[in-house]
Order: sequence, then C-alpha cells, then structure tokens
Amino acid sequence: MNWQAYLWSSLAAARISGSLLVRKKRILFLGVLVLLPALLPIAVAFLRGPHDRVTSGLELFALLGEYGFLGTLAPLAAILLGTALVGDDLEHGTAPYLLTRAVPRSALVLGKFLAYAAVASLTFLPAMGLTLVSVLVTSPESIEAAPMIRLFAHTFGVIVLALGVYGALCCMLGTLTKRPVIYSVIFVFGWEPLTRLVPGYVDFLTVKKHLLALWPVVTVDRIDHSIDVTRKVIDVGLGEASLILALVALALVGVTTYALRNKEFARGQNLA
Amino acid sequence: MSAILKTSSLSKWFGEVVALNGIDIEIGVGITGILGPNGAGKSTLMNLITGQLSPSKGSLTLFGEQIRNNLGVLRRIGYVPEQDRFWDEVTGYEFVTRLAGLTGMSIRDAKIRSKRVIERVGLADRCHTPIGSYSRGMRQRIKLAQALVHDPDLLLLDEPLTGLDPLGRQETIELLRELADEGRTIVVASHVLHEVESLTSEVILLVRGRILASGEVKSIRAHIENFPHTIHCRSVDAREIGKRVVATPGLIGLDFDDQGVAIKTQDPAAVYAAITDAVVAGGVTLDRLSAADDDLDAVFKYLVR
Amino acid sequence: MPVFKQSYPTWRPDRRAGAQRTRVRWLPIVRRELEQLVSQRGFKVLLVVAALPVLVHLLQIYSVNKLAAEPNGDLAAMLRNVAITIDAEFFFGFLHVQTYFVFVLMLYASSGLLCDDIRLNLAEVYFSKPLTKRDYLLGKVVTVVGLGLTYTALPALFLFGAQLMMVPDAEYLRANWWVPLSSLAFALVFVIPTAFATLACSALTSSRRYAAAAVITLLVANGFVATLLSDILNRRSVSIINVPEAMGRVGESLFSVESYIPLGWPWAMAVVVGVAVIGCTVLVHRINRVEAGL
Repeated sequence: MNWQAYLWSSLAAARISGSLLVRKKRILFLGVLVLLPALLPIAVAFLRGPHDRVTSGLELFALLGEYGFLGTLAPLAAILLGTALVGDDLEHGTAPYLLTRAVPRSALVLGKFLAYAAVASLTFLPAMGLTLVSVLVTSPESIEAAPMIRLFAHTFGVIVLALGVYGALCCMLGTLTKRPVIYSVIFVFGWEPLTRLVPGYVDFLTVKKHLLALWPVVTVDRIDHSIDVTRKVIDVGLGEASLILALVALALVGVTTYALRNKEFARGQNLA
Repeated sequence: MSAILKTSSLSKWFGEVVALNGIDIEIGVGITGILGPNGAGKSTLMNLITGQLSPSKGSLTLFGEQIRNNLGVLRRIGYVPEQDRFWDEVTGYEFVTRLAGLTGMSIRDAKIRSKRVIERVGLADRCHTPIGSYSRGMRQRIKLAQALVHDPDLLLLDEPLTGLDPLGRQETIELLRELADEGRTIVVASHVLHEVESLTSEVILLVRGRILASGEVKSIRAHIENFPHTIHCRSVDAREIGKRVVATPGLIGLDFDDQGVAIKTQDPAAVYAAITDAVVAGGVTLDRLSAADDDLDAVFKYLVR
Repeated sequence: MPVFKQSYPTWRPDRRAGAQRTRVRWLPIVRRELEQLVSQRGFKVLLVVAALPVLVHLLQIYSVNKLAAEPNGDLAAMLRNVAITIDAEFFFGFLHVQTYFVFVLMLYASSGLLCDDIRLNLAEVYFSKPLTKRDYLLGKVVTVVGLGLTYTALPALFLFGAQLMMVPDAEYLRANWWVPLSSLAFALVFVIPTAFATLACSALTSSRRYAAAAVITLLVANGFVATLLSDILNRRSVSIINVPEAMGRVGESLFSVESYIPLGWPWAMAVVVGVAVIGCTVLVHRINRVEAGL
C-alpha cells in the first residue's frame, strides 16, 4: 500500500471513530463534566469569607488545571472515550467490518487514536477557555493579557499530551482486556496516587509524574504584582519528560496495533 | 476449474472444543453453499477465510496466497457477517462510504462507488437515514452493499437470507445470481436447506466440524448407496402397482396406506420403468408420482443420521 | 401437554390452598439476578475479597478478648503495643473499610442490571408478564440493596455478636446495646444512595462498561470539586459536598465518633438524601420511558 492510500485509510478510520464519538451520549456527559472547573471560581467568589486565604486568578487557574483538568478530567476523558476506540467495536460486534477490510492495522489504530485526540482536545479547549474567563472575572486583581495567554497555551498543550498518553493506554486496555474501565481506573486512581507514598523512584513509573514535570506553577508577587511561572517537579527534565511521554504513547499505540494484527477476536459460535 | 479457495487438512480448535476437523475443500467460480446445522463450524470456516482466525492445523489459501494480514487478498474479499450489528447512529450511506475509504480509496471515489452500490441493492431512497431505523431486510442489504463497494472477486455471506421476508429473499437471491454471472465467486453459509438449494446446486455439507459430502446435490444423492430411494405413488390401484414393482431389482420394501404406496428401492430406474409399463398397459390409474428424497433436505437427513 | 401444542393461555392465578401467593411478584426477579451474578467468576472473587475485612476484624476481636482473658499468655507479647479497643469506633472503622469493598461489589452487580435489559429488549419481556413497573424496580433495587446490606449490616451484627460471646459479663452489652442499630443505620445510609445512583447510571447507558465508568466519573469529579474548594477556601466544612465524606460524617455522628468536619450531621444527611432522591427520580423516569417503549 502506498503512502497516499495509507493516509486515506487512516483518514477513513478517523472519520468513522470521530463521527461515532461525537454522536454518543458520553461526549455530552464529558462536555458537562469538563465545565465543572469553570464553575469553581464562581463558587469560590461566592463562598469566600473575609478571613479565607486569597488566591490570585492565575494561581487559581493553574491549580484548577492541575487538580481538575490534568489530575481528574483528562484521565476520565481517556477512560470514557479511549476504552471505546477499539473496545466498543470488539464488544458490539462491528469489528468484522474493520478487520476483514484491506486496511493496515496501524492505519486503523492511528486513525482512531487521532480522532479521539481531536475530539477530546476540542472538548477541553472551550472548557479551559471558559475556566480562564471565569477566573479572570472573579479574580481579586487584574491580570495582564500576555502571561495569561502564555499560561493558557502552556496548560492546554500539557492537557493535550495527557489526553494522548492516557488515551493510548485506555485504547490498549480496551483492545486487550474485557474490563478496560476497571484496569484504567486502578492505574490512574489507584497506582498513580499510591506511588507518591512510596519513597524512591517508583513514581517514575507513572504518567502523572512526567506530566507534572511539564505543568506550570504560578506565583504572583502581591507587592509588585509580578508573575512567576516555574515548574513544579524539577527532578525530571522538560525534554526528558516530553520524550518519555511521547515514547510511551507511541509504544502503547504499537502494542494496540500488534494486538489487532495477531490476536484472534472472532470466536466460534454455539460451541458446547 | 481452478480453485480460488483451497483448504488442506484445515482444523481449528478453541481450547478443548474442536470447531473444524481436517477440512479439505476447493471452491471455484460460481455460487457454493456451505450447509450445516447450528454449531457445525460454518461461521468458524468463514472467520478463517476472512482472516479473522488462523488455522490451528493445516492450511487455507485464497487466490493461492495465505489470508491472514494479507492486504492484497483482503482487498479481493467482500464479507457479509451473520451478526446484525451496526453503528446504529450512522446513516447507510455513511456506513458504506466510510468502510470503502478504509481500503485506501479517496473520499471522492468512495462516495461514487457507495452511491452506485447502494442503488444496486435498492436502498437509494433510505440511505441517508440512520441504520438504527432500518428494517431487518434493509440491514441485510446495507451489509451486502458494504461488502460489494470495493468490487471484490470473492463474496462471503454468512446466513444472508435470515430474517428476510419472501420478497426480500427473492430479490437477494436474484442479486446473488447476477453477481455470480458477472464472474464472482460467491460462498453462502446457511443452515436453511431450501435457501441454499434455491441459490446453488453446488454444496458442501458440514456437520460437527467435518465435511460429510461436497459436490452437486444430485450426485451426492446418487452416491448414498446405503440409503434407499423412496418413491411415493398416490393411486387407488396401489396394490396393483405394488404387484408390478415387487419383482424389480433392488426393491427394499413397500409401505401401503390409504392414499397409495411408498416404494423403497435401491434401483429407482427399474421401479419407474415398471410403473410406466403398468400405466401404459392400462388397468392402473396413477394420481401422483414423486421422489421423496432427491432434494437437499433428504440428502442432509440421510447423511446426518 | 407440550408447550408447542398449547395455544396462548389466559393467565389465572393459582387459588388452591398452599399455592404460592403472587403478592411478592418482584421476588423471582431478585432470585434470577442473584443466580445470574453468582454464576460469574469475577463476582464470586469479589464476594470472597469483600469478606476479608470481616475475617480480619473477627481476628482482632478474638485477639483483644484473648489478651484480656490471658494477660500473660502467648498473644500478650505480640499485642501489647497494639492499641485496639472493641468499642463503637471499632465497628464504625470496620464499616468504613467495608464500604470500599461493598461499593465495588455493588457497582459490579448493578452496572448491568438495567442496561442489559434495555439493550437486549428484555424489559419488554418483563413488562409482558403480570409485573408492574414497581415490581420490576423493586426487584432490581432489592437485589442491589440486599447484596450491600449482606456485606455491611450483617457482618457488623455478626461481629457484635462475636464480641458479646467472648465478653464474660453483660456490662459490655449495657454500654453498647445501640451499636447494632447504628451499624444498621449506617449500612442503610451507605447502601441505599449507592444502589440508586448505580442503578440510575445503569438505566441511562446501553453498556455496563459505561454505566460503571459513569459512576466512577461522577464519584471522582465530586471528590475533586469538594477537595479543591475545601483547599482553596481553606474550609474543611466545604468537603461535606463530597458524598463519601458526607456518608462518613453521618456515620461518625451515629457512632459518636469525633469528626474533623466542623459541620452538623443534618447537612451531611441532606447531601446523602439528595443523592438518593436524584438517583431514584432518574431511575423511575427512565423505567417509565422504557415501559412506554421510548
């Protein structure tokens, strides 16, 4: 197959997956869910008392991003959407239409993965934008445009990377296992928090560690209102973290492709 | 006839369950029926032919090549699965177009071909509504459309007539015959004997993972020497007919009832000759003469017994 | 007469003496669902795993009472530094731990209970029988609630009974007679909203996988919102909007355990009741639509 036909195949796979993802009820569910961080600044402004700690707007945005979008919503999006990419076709019996076609398995997986990444990213983009607006509106001090835009672009980039890596993991689990949701949840909400309690380098075996290495931490000087954006985790290099995440995503997509090529998904019927 | 599909000692098992056992078949151009009851191994054979499974033992080639992960071979296959599973949210047109695109066609080509094939299966007026709203017959036709869109040389259909009304069944049979006349190889798996009989006389009988017989229905029947032919004569002169045929060679038995006589024989030609002489000579009136077991149903029952 | 020779018979209840009454029409549903669940290997594994905390706590009860009876015995050296008291807090602690296991068990059981019926058109089969919507819902809810209570209230009562048997005098019972009631109440506070919420998610999706994912998503999202608000505002009381914390707060109040949430139990109870009401409303609404063929 030449590269043009390969591209058309990937595009067709992306179109199939993309059109299915946007038509499912769960995308609506996810769309509502990712708007939660946008409501929090309003809730904070409403509930804030005179003696409560005051957080600046950008600090709040970075915090909401880290615990909300990165720590909770991106993995949840991957679990909801990523496990369905191949898993739904296998579970619902539509896999024969795909697997009996003259399409390279890598093109199939690539197309599906790109569709997921596009749909998930486009779901998060307006939500993050709304969160930023909500933060700006309720912020106790005024914020300059340049650092705000830079921060938004930086955090959105890390979120897209998070969606990609977690999505690749969930897609692989959806292909290889019958209960991908359970295994994904155990990894994201069990293994990853647990490793932080273990001393040493165990937490290097998580995706979160490397994502946090890329995440900005915002501190605002209350006197001269200067904004300092640093990185939270300094024992993983920026380049190192990006490379590892990219390689992990690639490897997971590779494993999914390998499984689709070599695993037998059809079973005999009425065999007793 | 050169074989398009060839298997050699093909076996497939799942754990301790043997789904296919030592299958040797050759299928050429035209329509071939794979017949067998539920659990015979028809779907397993289809899954092997479409490359979804690998043989546990033996070999299976299509157009002279191995099938699994062979894009060149898969491009020449169109598969209509038995399961009635779809992406219900998409329209029939989207379904066929997107699947066509998977084979490397450009979007434009996929659209053109899809439109053509959807018209051929008679769904042009409903192709822009979601598949979830289709009737069973329409769903079967859209399945056929997705199998035909890339113009395959080999069409594999697993229980294609299930759930169709008589008109739908007739239309599908005619379409399959047209496709066969165009030079395609068509393999139909079914457990409904009369459906396969209406499509083809070339059958492979599969029971419990083994080939019981293959070839033309009549030649299979003729080779079943162990089981006698049964000829029914409906006549008021049944006893007289019995007298005339009792001396024919190969006669096994006569079974009289109110309506006539059932003659069991291993030499039907001799019995027919004797009955004809009796009628021509006069003194015997014959209301009806029929061979009860020259059809697929009878052949199947004999072989499975 | 063989079934295929019968025409469609009019249903008549059996009025003979001793014939089974049809009042409890939902019981066959419960029976059937439990049979279905118990036939699954994964569920059987979960049942065994969920029983482990009961064993651990039973051992603790035995050890403490053995130590009390034989202060110089073999166990004394091992347990001298382990401060376990079999009081109300002990039983609250057991139930608190048990809720994690029972949540997984209930989620496993309930995620397919309704969505499978709806997806496979079995709901039509149910409603073609002499069953009302109420019977259908009751059957499903009782299955999940019964399962939950079997692994919360029942073992708590069993542990209390075991403690009573090992304690030599009636003083313990006089001081702690209310603990079984609190255990039952806390079990209900946990099990009922969990059952309604998980069944509601099952009723809203067509896949048991997504029913489970939806429950986990809501739980995690609820937790993150509560934690974030609580941290940003530096106010512990805000975490009451976290449903598991709200349930815990009610439990602390039931067992007279000191709470680190400076908010009264009525607020926590309101959150719990709110979840139960929302879950129940969604469930009833969905079943009405299914029955109407929508």
